[in-house]
Amino acid sequence: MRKTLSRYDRVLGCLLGAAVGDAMGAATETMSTRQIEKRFGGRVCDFQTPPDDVLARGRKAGQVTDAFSIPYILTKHLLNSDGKASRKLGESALLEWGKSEWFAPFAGMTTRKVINRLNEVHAMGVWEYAGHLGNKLFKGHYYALSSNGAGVKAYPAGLLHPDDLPKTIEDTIELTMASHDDPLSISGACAIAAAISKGMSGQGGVYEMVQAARYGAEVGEAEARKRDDIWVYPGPSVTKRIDMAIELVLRGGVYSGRHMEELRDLIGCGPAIAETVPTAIGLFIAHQGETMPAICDAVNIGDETSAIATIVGALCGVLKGKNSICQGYLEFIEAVNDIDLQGQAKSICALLEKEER
Amino acid sequence: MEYNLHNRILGGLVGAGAGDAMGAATEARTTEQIREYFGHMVTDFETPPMDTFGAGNKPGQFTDDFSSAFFLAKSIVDNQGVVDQKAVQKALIDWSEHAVFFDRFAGPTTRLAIRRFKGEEIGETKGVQLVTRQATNGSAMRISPIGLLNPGNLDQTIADAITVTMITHDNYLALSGACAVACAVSRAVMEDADVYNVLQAALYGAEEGERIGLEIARDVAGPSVLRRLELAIKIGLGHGTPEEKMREIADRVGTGLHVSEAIPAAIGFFAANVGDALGSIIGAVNAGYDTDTVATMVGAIAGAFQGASAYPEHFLPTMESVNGLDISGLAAQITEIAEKRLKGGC
Repeated sequence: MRKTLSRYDRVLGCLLGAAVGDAMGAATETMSTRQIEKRFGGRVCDFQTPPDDVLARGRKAGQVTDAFSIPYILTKHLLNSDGKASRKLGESALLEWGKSEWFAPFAGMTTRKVINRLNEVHAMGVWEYAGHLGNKLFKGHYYALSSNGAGVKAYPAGLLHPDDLPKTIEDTIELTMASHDDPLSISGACAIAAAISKGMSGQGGVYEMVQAARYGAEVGEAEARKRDDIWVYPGPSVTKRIDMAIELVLRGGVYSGRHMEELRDLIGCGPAIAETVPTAIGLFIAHQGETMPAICDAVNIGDETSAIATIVGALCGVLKGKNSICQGYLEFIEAVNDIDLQGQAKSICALLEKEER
Repeated sequence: MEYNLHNRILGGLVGAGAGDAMGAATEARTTEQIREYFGHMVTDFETPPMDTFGAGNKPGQFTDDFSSAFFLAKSIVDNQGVVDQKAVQKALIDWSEHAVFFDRFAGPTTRLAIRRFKGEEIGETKGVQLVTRQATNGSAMRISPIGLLNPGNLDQTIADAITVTMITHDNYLALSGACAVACAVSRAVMEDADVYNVLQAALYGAEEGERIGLEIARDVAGPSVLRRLELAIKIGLGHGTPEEKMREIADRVGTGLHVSEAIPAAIGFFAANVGDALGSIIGAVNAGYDTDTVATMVGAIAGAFQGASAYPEHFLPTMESVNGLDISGLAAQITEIAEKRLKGGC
């Protein structure tokens, strides 16, 4: 019989998995698999000092980037409001993050623009903003109007609504709208949030979580398309790419290193939400939810390693619990980053208990 | 119909130009948004809407895609068909002096390269330089004339495509994409071309471009042009109507700026439309996202495959007059060189 994990164990596993993935990925972000191997003399499966040509240069081994710090601050805001999610709350969390040490080196293209816009005294008119997006973002960056920033900050809504997919999706849409107001970003965010919500239930394993992700991607996209305040951009389908990732990792049976390479080459590991989220889900399945091996593959897959490893860490961590992560990492991550993961996990559990009463 | 090399070469140019001009009106929209704005699928030249990059263009007017291909071809023809660094740089500088194309449309990677070889010192940016974000489709969009100039000679096509691409996009993914398109065009222009051997040439080009690129160009992270190309071809040759396949290609392969989306998608549309000269372009133009670039590439391939006579009669005169470019003259010059090469001369 499956050993039952405590709720605290799952929540802390999720937070710690995400933080560990982010911090490990910080050293390899934007490099190719070949470049990572050359630079580090092999695969990176622990905390490394980021080299000079990655975004995290100058930071210490074990320090997290935007990928974990944004959802960490978002979770704080959610806890302060008794778990009530709104677009407004998402915006204030982003503004607080914009004042943090993480903003300058790490803010991704979508989040940076939104924070700058929220900060502007004379806010741009909506048409000006649209033109701004159109010209600068579309041609200036090669893809990803719908980018992975939405996917990495999706897990908190899932933690706060165990086994409640409709509420998880509803809250995720609101929170995502604060920075990524398009159906594809929302689709990717709802996929991850729904998987986490299912994982929190303690019912079922990798298969059930991935089915929830698939459901979240589909329903999230459909709900987003119904809104009046949504911006619709072209881009590949997150749902279809998730299906491709599932099909790809099931091929060949048990896991081999080939699965990581195939996900990288076919689905991709760049900033587009339709690459990051499906590839993360593919790694989660390929490793049957085993936290450390899955994070390790995510760190070495190349390009957006921090974001992918954060998502993979959250998915695996909620399923397998905090003990699936190397001993000593919790204390190390908390100390290097001056963050209180155990405190946050306790507060989440306390809030859930309060609601159940 | 009797084989006529000039008709094929002119078809390659007309198809590329028409794809660019038609796509200028639909770029950055989704399939639904295109249908909503125009009230139908776009199948001819249209006035670009005011909220897109082509805003201000007249129907039939080019953007960066075909205009840069045109100047590249012109410069190589003036150089007796020899592709060298000087000819490519000259083409890009000539092109950059045409404000109507360059100032409004030039992409980020190309812009930087032209500033550099115009002699400008480009200081190291304070930020981290992300070569990964330079694996864009900017080189492949203008590569088709290389295939027209080297009919059936895939290895020479690859060598020339690499010379052109290394000047602006010196990473292995961009090389893989450019060689795929150039090889498809080179094969499509031949008398014995069929859908299969054109697709095989594209796959060969992608693979060789990748292999050589990993030796001589910069490594970058990013999905594989070859793997995505295999997927696009599988969808293109699979079941369904051309329109169903168009959606599948947009949803699964992607039709954005990245070299691993735009190039496989373009070749997928060729397969999905069984090489139909206009149908292939219509697929790319209505699939959404970077439609002008994708349509320029597939237009070159399908146009070279079926020849200029497969297009509506007004296409060529409209494009020549709106853009003030002598496309027929260029086709004649390219044909002269291509014919000599086909006969084994030079």
